[in-house]
Amino acid sequence: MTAVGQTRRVPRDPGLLLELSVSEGWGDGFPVIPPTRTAVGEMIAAVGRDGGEVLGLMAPTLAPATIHHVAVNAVLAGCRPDYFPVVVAAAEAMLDPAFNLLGIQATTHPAGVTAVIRGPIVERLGVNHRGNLLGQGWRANATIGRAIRLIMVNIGGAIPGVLDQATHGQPGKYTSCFAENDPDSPWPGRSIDGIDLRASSVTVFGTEAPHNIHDQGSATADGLLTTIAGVMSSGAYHQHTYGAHHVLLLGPEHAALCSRDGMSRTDVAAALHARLLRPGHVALPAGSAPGHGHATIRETSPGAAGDVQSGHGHGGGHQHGGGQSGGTADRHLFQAPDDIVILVGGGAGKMSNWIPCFGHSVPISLRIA
Amino acid sequence: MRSLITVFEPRAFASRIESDDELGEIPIGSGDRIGLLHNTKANGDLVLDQIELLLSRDTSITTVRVTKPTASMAAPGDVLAAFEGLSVVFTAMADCGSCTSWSCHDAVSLEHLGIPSVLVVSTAFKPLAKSIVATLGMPNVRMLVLEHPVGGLQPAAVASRVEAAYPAFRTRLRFSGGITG
Repeated sequence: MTAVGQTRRVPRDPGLLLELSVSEGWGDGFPVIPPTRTAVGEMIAAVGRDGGEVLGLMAPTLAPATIHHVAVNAVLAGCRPDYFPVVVAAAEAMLDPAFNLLGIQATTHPAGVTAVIRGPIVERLGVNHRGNLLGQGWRANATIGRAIRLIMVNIGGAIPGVLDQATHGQPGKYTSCFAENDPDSPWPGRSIDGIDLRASSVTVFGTEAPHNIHDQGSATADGLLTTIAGVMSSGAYHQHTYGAHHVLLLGPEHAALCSRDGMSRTDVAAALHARLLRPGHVALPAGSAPGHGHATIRETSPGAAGDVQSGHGHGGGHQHGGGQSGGTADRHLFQAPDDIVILVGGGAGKMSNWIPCFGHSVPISLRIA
Repeated sequence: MRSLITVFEPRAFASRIESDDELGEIPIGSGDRIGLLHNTKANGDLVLDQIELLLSRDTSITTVRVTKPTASMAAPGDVLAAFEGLSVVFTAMADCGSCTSWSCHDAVSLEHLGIPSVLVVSTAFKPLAKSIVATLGMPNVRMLVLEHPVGGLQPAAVASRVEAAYPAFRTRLRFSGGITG
């Protein structure tokens, strides 16, 4: 492991430093800010913790994620020191075993990490939660998300083509960070994982690239939800819906329409869960495992008839309409309404966004200290 | 002379020490129980079928086959416990990023439990597997390497992949008694 505080000499010229970062595999292809002693010191001072403190071991290399190394990468990414508490909380959240960072880091799936920030810190740091919140132009969104990626590469070791085996990857692997738009949401804020509503927090999701939902015509929530379900129903061919957590980022105008028609966030999730069905005639690719089933165990003697022992199996999701196992009944795409995480964000316009997930990953929320 | 500045090293990890060596040969006797761990990947079950067939040509065996809940997570404790006391466990199929990583974990976990393991991996993902087992501190995990791809093949082609790789791997097995073929 690289010791905390290990220094090296690098070119002062920004172009040469960029070339070095790419050739050695510790950059992302964009220019980097030199992690000088002063810059890293200011970053660490912003959290008031010891640089040698280990947050945990980061997969796949299982290198210790120290406050120091997290700070070095936050500097590289261009973070301001006051962003650093968010970066530390996000790094710590990714280390939760339920987040399945090993799977996200090494997978052929186009899995990235999206950080969603909420609470008073959003305005304080200027995290964009309105128009173009998934796009360019805001330093906090751009650099906090970028810091998370560089941490995954330089501490976790997910170097593309080596330990990061993504077949295609996706643009969100450069950066993916935004805030919830509570001021323009028709619904009250919500407590996540017991974190006080007045506190600032960050949630990390294992995500694919976002997909737009365009509906400028629906005058009722029912019509809008039909459109949304139509887009999200392409998940019928997506192996990672069942038992996974997808984000539905409602634009404020779409959220207002749902609210006007008397729907809460919970109601929206429940209505979509009910509508999002995999038609029974839709066959999944051989070997896909959408059911997140239990283990099955059987013991046999080759050449002999019959199993000695049978376990219990479960696959393909809950059936809808009382069909028999293995039959052609429609099945819910999502295991439960709570698997559709309803967020509000964005600016004017009748648009929403579906952010599919890497399956087998639970979103983790932590309070920002 | 170029102008230089002093910065902190961004990387926290050191180079992994990989190995081409593998753990010792596996004794298999007549009547032994062999474990087959299916990680749900496409054609992984057919790969295990073929391994079962080839082993049974060498000696009389009984197999314990377990399908874990998902390829993208570690085998739960009850799955690993099902293999307790077995001569060897074959895990299949490691032919993508997350499934290979977690299959490496499973193979190493089995070894830590004293159960010999063999990771069945495709050629395209062997380098990843070598890196992961090295990070897990067991760089010499045994591997049965099949030509990539394995998913999306017809059953006969899957069987051919296994048959092509098996003769070289068979030298890692030491059969005793009850040879049938």
